[in-house]
Amino acid sequence: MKKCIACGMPMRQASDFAQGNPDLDYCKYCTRPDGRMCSFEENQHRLVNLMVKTQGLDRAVAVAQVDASMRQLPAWQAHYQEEDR
Amino acid sequence: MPNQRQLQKSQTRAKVVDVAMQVYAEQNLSTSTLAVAKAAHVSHGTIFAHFPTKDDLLIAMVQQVCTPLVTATDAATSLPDFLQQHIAVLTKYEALYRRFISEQDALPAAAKQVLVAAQATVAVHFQAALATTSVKSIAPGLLFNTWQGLVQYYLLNSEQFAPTGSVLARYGDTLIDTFERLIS
Repeated sequence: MKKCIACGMPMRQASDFAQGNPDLDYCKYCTRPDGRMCSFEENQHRLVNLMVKTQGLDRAVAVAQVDASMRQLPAWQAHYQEEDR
Repeated sequence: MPNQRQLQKSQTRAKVVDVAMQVYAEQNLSTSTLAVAKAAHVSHGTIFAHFPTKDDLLIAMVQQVCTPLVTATDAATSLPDFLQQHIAVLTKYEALYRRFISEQDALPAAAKQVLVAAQATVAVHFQAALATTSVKSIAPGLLFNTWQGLVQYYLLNSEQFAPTGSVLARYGDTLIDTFERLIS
């Protein structure tokens, strides 16, 4: 089963994929209106808001937790390599 | 296809994790890996061949509990289904999960991260389940935390509610029923 390279969500059915296309590596939530994958900042913003909403976390804590998760994801390896340099 | 040697290796690894989960559930997270080796009837070296450090073993144990938590709650089709699936997995790993939440400081940062990530995913699944039903107008985060608080209070004080046996097996249905009535 494929996992979204940008947020880690498991993609079980075609409707979970960007544009309903199972050949793509990212999910429907990590997609811009034009079909391209969201940027690092867009994804970070969305995931932080999701954590604050679903768990009521302090925003700074959510930012740190999202950062730790995004570090593990394939889509953001180059971003973190650049940031850590 | 894995060869005989690879198969044996993965079986030994699975056995070590399985026994470690029992040992750490019964004792505490400070227990030595030597105690795990004795209980699993393998040499201490065998443990280290699969898990170079105790932290690696703790991370594997946390993953072993978190994976079914995430999978079962993802498959939930309604709020009652979510609550039942959540309780079912927690009941299965009750003693060990209690250690994870009561002895968090004994867990390495990477294991804590696995717990935090699983909790975040379970919270998203809770919200998806909430959307299938009509509930009081309360922030989703607070609703999730109320459920978590209820379950964890019983887990952490199980000696007062169920001195012998599983507190979730005894009170799981009551907690689900009470929570549903509180929020609807």
